[in-house]
Amino acid sequence: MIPHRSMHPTDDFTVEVQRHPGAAVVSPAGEIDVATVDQLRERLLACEADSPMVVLDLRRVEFMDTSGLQLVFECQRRAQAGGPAFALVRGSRQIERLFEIAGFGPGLRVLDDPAEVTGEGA
Amino acid sequence: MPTPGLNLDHAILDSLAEAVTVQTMDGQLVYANEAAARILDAESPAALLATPPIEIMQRFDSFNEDGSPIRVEQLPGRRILLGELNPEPLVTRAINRRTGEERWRVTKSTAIRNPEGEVGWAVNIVDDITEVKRAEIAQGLLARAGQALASSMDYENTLGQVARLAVPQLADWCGVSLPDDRGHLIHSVAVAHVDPGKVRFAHDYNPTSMSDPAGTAEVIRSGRSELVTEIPDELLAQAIADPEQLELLRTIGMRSVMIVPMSAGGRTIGALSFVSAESGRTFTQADLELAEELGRRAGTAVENARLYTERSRIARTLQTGLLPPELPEIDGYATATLYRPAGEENWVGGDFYDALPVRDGWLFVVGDVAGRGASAAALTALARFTLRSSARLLDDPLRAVEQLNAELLERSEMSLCSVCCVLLRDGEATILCAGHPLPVLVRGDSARMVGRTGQMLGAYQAGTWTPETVALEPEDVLVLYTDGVLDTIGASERFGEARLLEALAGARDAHDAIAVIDDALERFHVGAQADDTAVLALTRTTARTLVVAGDARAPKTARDRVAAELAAHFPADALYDVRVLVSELVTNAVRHGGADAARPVRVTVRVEDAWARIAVWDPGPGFDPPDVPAARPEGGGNGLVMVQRIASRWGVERSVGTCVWFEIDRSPSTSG
Repeated sequence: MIPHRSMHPTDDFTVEVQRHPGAAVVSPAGEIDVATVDQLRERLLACEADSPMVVLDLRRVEFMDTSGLQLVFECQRRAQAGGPAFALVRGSRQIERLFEIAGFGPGLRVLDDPAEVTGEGA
Repeated sequence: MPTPGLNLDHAILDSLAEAVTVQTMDGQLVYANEAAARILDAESPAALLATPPIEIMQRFDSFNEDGSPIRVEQLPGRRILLGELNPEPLVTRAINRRTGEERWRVTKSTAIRNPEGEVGWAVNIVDDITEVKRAEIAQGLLARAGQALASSMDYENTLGQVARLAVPQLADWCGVSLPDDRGHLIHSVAVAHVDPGKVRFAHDYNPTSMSDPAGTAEVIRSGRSELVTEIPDELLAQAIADPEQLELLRTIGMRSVMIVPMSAGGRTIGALSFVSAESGRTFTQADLELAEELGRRAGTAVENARLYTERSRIARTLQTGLLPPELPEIDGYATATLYRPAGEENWVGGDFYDALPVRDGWLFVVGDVAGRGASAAALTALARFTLRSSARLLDDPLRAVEQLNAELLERSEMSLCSVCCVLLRDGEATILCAGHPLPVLVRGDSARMVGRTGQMLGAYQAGTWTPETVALEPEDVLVLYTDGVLDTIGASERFGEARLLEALAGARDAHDAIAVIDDALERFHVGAQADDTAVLALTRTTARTLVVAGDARAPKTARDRVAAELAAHFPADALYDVRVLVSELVTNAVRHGGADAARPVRVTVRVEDAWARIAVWDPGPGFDPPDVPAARPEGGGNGLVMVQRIASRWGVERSVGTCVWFEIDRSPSTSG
């Protein structure tokens, strides 16, 4: 498995993608807001095009506002409409609280570790 | 020379200075006098008659006065052949293709009837009006050049206009060259060409070296003009070292060139080059004299413009030193200012403001000196620095004002100055006005004048000035302004105090006060700004103001800075909430509130013991907040949902821009 890492010019925000036979794991690191969300969206859409399942790993996200929430729900909606399956890897307690406050929690598949769906060690 | 059917007195006609030719109705020349042979470039009248008319025409490029080519059917003789009896005389500019000589002519033609009473001949009389025409052109050209040169101090632009005037009347292209500051290279600063498409080529032309042996460099060095009537190819090849440029110049087909110095006060500061190419004409001594005169006038104008520019630069440098300072950060107060001198070249008007620390407090000063321009700037400097040093030394605004009064009275010329001083100490403002409009105190939705008027400084030996002290409550706004605000002219009257109070009522803080005054004046005033305007507003507040450029990074910059302000007072979870909310509101300000690089987002942060209040201001028109925003997964408005659910309290306020604020309690809120 060769990690595919791409550096973007926006501050310290990076997105790493790991492709497994059963799922693509997209791992952003840094802060998700209006300045960085489009980079992440692009990577997610690219994975949806050729993976049966896309996992968004929030473990290395330091900050997220509703730009990130909205992105998550776009992915979930496409999954419900017959696109590739979608799951989240739980982020910080504070990010989880954001989902709760927004009331967007129910219906999301949330994992503690991507290995649950990739079948490999994370 | 016999002319069948037509009696001509050859002896008389041959001796005429005007050229005379006679054509039969089929267009054949049957008579020409000596003068006609001369101007039509024939050896003799007989030789002219033996030449087919088409060939005679081809010897010349003929143009109308407007530069368009002459069409055969315009010729008066031809019009008679076509049945007209009294055709209009025709003025033409003819350039001899062989010699390049340019002549101006007026041709008149008369129909002659044969004995049967039918028109049988056309008699053409051609007058050479070259001298008259050239004088007329020269006069017109110099007059228009004079106007262009006097029109502006932007000399590169005016030189461009002069170059354009010379084309096509004097030359097919005209260029202006100036040496660089060090005198090493000569740059082409303006070029005009009959064919505008070629101007770019001429501009691409590399700068030439000042040490070139001939051409522009030699003209600038020697101050003597150069005229090359005919440019032989060898000369071109000799003068142009760069084969690419040589090829380009060959393509243009340069025929004749003159380079004249642009001189001022006996010094050569550049050169004008005139090239004849497309038209094929050659330059004459008369052309050279006209070009030299243009060079002298352009030189004088450039020199004047340079002196003026230099003077303005010096003035600006001096003025910059007098510009009001960025006000320092003052604990417990937020400040904002507006400074707008009237007049183009006037950066520093007679208005000034200042803020300086004194014992246990701060002294704010807004003032206005009489007069304009350099003397006012000098007086401004005197007033500011006298107040500064005496306020520090004497520690009393009243004594500082008395000191300034004494200084002004000592000056030989009448030196008047009005000031308003405000001493901030222990939550109180002590106001002292000397010939100055009274400051406005804004408390909530009310605004009133505070302080007492006193005499202007520099007028009376024994003035009396009465300080007045008012207690400043938190969030009170105090606004100091010069009379330029009150005296702003509207459609029918001046802005005045009533409008000022009305505008300021309800101003939220210092920045808002400045914004409402700026906005009100902008909408009120008619015509050019007549007077300098300075406004200084201050709020008693614990709020800090952060100004963030309105770009995609604004949310991060703002949330990081706000979090830094709160870090010492709030637990981590609350800080995270604040970061989310600031991020949401600043994102909205950039996306919907019209904030951009020029109109930044302003964030105020007020930290109290039990809570913090954060307000995000944008320049937009605002919106009606929904009572209870609903979360929408599809996006839009989710930022406000978070504000509604996380903040302890929140709201939207509209002033000149829009402010969305929220408060967050230090003890965990019950919301969420």
